[in-house]
Amino acid sequence: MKKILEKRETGVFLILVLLCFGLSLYSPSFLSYTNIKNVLVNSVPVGIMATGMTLVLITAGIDVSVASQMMFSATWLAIFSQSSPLANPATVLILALLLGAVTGAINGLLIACFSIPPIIITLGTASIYRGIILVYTNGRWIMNIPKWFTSLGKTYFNIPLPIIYAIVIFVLTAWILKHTYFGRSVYAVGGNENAARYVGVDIKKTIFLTYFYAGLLCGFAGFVLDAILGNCQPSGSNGWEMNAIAAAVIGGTNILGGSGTIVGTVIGVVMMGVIENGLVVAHIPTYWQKLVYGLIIIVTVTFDVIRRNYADSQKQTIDVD
Amino acid sequence: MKEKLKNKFTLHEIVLAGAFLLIFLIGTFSNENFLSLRNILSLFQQMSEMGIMAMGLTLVILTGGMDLSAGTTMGLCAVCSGLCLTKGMGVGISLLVSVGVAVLCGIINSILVAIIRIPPMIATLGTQMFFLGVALVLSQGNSISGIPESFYFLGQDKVLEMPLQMILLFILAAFLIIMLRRTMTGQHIYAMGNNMKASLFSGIRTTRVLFFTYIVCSVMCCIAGNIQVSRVATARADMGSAFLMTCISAVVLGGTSINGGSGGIAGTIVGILIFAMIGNIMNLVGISSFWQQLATGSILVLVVVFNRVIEMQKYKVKSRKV
Repeated sequence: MKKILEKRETGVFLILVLLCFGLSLYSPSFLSYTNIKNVLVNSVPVGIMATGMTLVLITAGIDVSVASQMMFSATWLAIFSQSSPLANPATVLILALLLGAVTGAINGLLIACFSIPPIIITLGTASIYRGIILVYTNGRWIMNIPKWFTSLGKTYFNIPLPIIYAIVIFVLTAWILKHTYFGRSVYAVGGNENAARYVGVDIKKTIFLTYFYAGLLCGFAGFVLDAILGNCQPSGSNGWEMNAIAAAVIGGTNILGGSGTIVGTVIGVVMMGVIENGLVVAHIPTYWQKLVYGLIIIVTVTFDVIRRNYADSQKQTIDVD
Repeated sequence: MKEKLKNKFTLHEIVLAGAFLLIFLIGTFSNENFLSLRNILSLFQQMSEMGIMAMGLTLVILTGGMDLSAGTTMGLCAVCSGLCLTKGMGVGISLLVSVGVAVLCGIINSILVAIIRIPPMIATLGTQMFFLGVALVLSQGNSISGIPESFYFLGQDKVLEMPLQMILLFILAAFLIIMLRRTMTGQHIYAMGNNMKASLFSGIRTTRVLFFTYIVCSVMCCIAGNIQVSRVATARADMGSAFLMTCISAVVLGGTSINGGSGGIAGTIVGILIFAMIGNIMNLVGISSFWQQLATGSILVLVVVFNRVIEMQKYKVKSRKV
């Protein structure tokens, strides 16, 4: 019991509960089934991206190309599902993972092989991936994604399919982080790269696999996005990478690497969704959203860093460098 | 050591000059209007805004930092001066308010980076969103039009046939080059980029220098924003957002190390010139702007990888000698 109370996730979770409670007092419709379903389903694409982002952040990296990767996958899937005779749920899913694997592998290779700051590489690849789909579609929307595709994003027996997908991804990633060699190396690399190297962790391989996995999830997020929306706007979901980062950071992932959990990220994602919904419920214009998100990121990161610096100052260290 | 430094300088210069010449030749052969005086002047007019912003970013990157909020700072300052102008305030006061906001933005960034010691990438990622949010709230999500004509001078006036902002660009560039080469602060900026800890121990007031660079960067963004407001006669919150990528690419292309410590303003100007020429040629030939996004991203990745490969080769040679 004490262990649960000490965890950071618990604090964030309590804030989330308070937030929901406040919103339900303000507007009773907030707690209705439809509203909650909408909040959760709309957060699924960001949630899946944030899961991959959590891994990247734990290695002390960052990936600002996740939204571009997702749209890259979503756009090709939309075109493929409309025009190819081969298109069916299985091939679309395989293609989604393939596209994600390609974009993720490019990021991973560039970052791991050349040890260039990840933010620079992903800033560049973000505009490459986005540029490719914009050039191909000329910025036009792709409407009328086939029925069989959108039926993969619908609700059956009161259970929305996208939420099932998200839960599968969360559980799988949490398992990978906790119980595989790769997962443990992710923490090791982010915690102390030199120490990890001396213990025998293959740093480059771990970093490559992290971005590869994040790309894979982005590809899948594109699949879910198409299924939910039923159309695809190649220039859309701009800035969602920030939402993914914010969700992970709110959930307690250390931006300097080394710690973070999927449970925390999930709570962060739901919190972002609730805040967005809350602004709508409270009739606050949508352009306040960015301001609120920005403030949340700044405040959470500030507190996090101050807390860590304080903890560090309490330790006695010998600097070897 | 000195010889090695010289070698590196020439190698990068050769690459840069080669790229510059190549694009210049492509431009000359693909369209006969490219070399006309009017086109060259308009090219300089278009590149001034980005150039001024990129110079500010160069200072920050030289200290080993990063300002991802540069683009939205530009948007915020543009919206501020736009609002002041449409509310009927004078040109001078509006500019003053806008610069004041820029200084405030710079102070917020540098408090987060220098005092709380959040990694600059993350801190400015947060402020990027925050400044955009503030700008959106101030402009209520709309673009502000109806800028009085008395403000047009900044982006549309010409002195001796030369656009005013081009002259401004060169004056600012000269100032910054002298500042970096000849003043204490300039030397401190390079020292901090090379080794922050050593600089701190050798008595450099790192916090003060960081405040200086982030504030200068924000003010440069503000100047760029006001020039654009004056040129297009509207102010929008997301005005500078598209600039950020190109500016960082240009700084890196110009030879400034992304980890700080080496490079300079002159390289950045050449970098921006290259990107401006690419954009200009694409416009002349009639290629959609989507290609520009693709080209910018590819060039950034290629240049960074190329620089890195050269660095790694050098390191190998060096370690073999030892």
